Amino acid sequence: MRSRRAFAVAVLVALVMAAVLVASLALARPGGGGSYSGGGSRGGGGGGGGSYGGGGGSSGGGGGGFLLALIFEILPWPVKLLLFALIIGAVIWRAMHSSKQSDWSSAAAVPDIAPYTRTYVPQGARPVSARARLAMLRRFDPDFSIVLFEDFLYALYAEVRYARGRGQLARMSAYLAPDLLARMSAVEPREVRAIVIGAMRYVGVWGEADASPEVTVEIELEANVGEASADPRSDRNVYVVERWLLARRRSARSRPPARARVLDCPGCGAPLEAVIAGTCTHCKRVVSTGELDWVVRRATVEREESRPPLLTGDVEEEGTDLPTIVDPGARASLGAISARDPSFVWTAFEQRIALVFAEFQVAWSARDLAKMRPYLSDNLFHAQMYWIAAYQQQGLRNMNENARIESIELARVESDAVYDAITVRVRAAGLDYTIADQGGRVVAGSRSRDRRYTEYWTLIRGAAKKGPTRTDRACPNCGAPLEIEMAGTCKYCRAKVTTGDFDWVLSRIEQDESYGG
Amino acid sequence: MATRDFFLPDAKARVTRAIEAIEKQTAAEIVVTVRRRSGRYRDTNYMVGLALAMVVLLVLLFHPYPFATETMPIDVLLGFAVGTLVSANAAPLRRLLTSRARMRENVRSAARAAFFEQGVSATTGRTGVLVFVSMFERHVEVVSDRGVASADLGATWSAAVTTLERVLSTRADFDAFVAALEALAPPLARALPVRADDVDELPNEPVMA
Repeated sequence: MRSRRAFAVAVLVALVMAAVLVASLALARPGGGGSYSGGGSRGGGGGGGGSYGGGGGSSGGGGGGFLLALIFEILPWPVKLLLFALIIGAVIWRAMHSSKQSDWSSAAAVPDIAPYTRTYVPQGARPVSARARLAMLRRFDPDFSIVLFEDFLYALYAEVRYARGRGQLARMSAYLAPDLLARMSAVEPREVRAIVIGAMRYVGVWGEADASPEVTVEIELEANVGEASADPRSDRNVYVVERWLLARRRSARSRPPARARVLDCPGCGAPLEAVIAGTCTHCKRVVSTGELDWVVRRATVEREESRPPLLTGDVEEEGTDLPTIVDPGARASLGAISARDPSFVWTAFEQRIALVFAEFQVAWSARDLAKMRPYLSDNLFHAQMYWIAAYQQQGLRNMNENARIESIELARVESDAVYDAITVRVRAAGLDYTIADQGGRVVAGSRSRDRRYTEYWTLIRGAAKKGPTRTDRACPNCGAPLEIEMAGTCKYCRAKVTTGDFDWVLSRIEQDESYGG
Repeated sequence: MATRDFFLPDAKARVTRAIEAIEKQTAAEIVVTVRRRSGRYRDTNYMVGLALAMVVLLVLLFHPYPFATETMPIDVLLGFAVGTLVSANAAPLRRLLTSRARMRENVRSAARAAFFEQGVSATTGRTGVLVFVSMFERHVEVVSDRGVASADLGATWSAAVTTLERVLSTRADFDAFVAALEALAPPLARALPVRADDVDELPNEPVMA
């Protein structure tokens, strides 16, 4: 190859040398220089021609000279232009021809996939995560949805906490094993004002693959529980890490999606009050055995400490530089969504995330719950409500200015009979500071220094939904200007658009340091 | 030259069949990516344009014909443009004027980027093998994941990979490429036999990338 290259360079050099040689010969001839200087100007073309003719005795016989003159002078400009037009036409034709030769790959199931420049894949074969193994329950229970299961858990945890705070834990007997119910009831109740579940992690899953008749799941919940007392000054926030062990018969069937988030008698749907000591007075069945639905067998408080809401503290970002936890099957699952719904386009999905991000940041800074409502699932919206209320109570406002996404990385894709869920890691930066409502004094953060952070965002959409992802501020059902009521329904068509049945909504935000895949 | 053969629908179908045939014998996940080029090499085009501009300039200056002075800059610039365009559209010339080491380095970098971008590294057993074909450079780069250890695959694998990497060096022969691709199967089948519960984790159907 080196010799071929040298050959090419030599050819080029030779061309240059030949040109110099031709020019030198021309200069050596008496008529050459005279005719050049005598040409004077293009306007004297005739004279020039005469001079050329005069020199013709010596140079006219050079065919090369004639061709060069033909190209550079004798040919009129229209013909020159025509020549160049032909060359350009040939180039364009060739470009059009070559444009049919598009790069291709046998692997790019998702053609416009997000860049993976910072994606980290753990070394060695990665064991299937507990969450993914729980999702395999679909093999025995086709209607099982991990998204609905998590919604159910969030609702159940909050309801148990509220019920215990009010001293009404007995009404939860359909979902708590009898011995656990007895132990929890023995704890002195403190009224619960608000609960924010910060994260939920899967500790382990058992019995989902083997012949075991029962499936058991252990989860760890992180929550901030606002506890009220008789003296409002004694109200406190408790930071809780709690582990729950839940069990269900593998033969049980998930409830229809409409009932999946409702806490009632698992047997007949009667109100919880109808279930006494685990037996429904309506359908006369013992429903707390796990035969019909999940039951909490064990609840362990791992950590419980009082800490004021960290509204004015400057907490360092912990997990920004941690590697991204990527599910190995994420790309293939995303490809499956694309195959099922060809109008699903990753770039549009990214734009949707950008829209949610932008609206969310603006709404958060303005403490405008209505503005963020259309893009958040119910659980996530309630969490935001709590925090915004906390800021308002303390006369503070957390500001996110110039917030911008730096990159979006695919982390996990989950599909079941009810939902598609896509988890991405969002890297972002912006000014993040807290000011006092009165006076505008900065009490935390910095008004001039950007803060870089990452979060894992999970967006969900109904599995039956097909069609382009909306990237504008319009109702995903009727297309009207986006005006969503607090219940998540469109003001115009009354459809509840925050369930994900119509378009992607943000369902979970997990901090990078606590995300477990 | 049959570069276009690699971009015909039939070529993609044949590659798909070849991949499926290989993956029936081995747990390895084969991915074939075909790119028109791995670098742009614009500097080479400019070099050719500059050379032609210099030729034009010399002719204009030293040829006895009384060329008009006011059109000389235009002629020189046109010479540069024509040279650049000719080089940009004449792959053999551009390839001739670009060092092989540089082209190989570009292909290697592009292949490694594609290895991650296309998720070849995301197989459960880390058994992905990317066969990256870059037509302009006439080079094939084979990138294997850590689950496909050359030491276990032996000399047959090394020979098959070397053959595949060089199969286009003389001419873009699609049939020879497919044959070289299929020759990866025996060493892979010996070292990484297909399992009963094998899952085809990466799709085999070619799509635009």
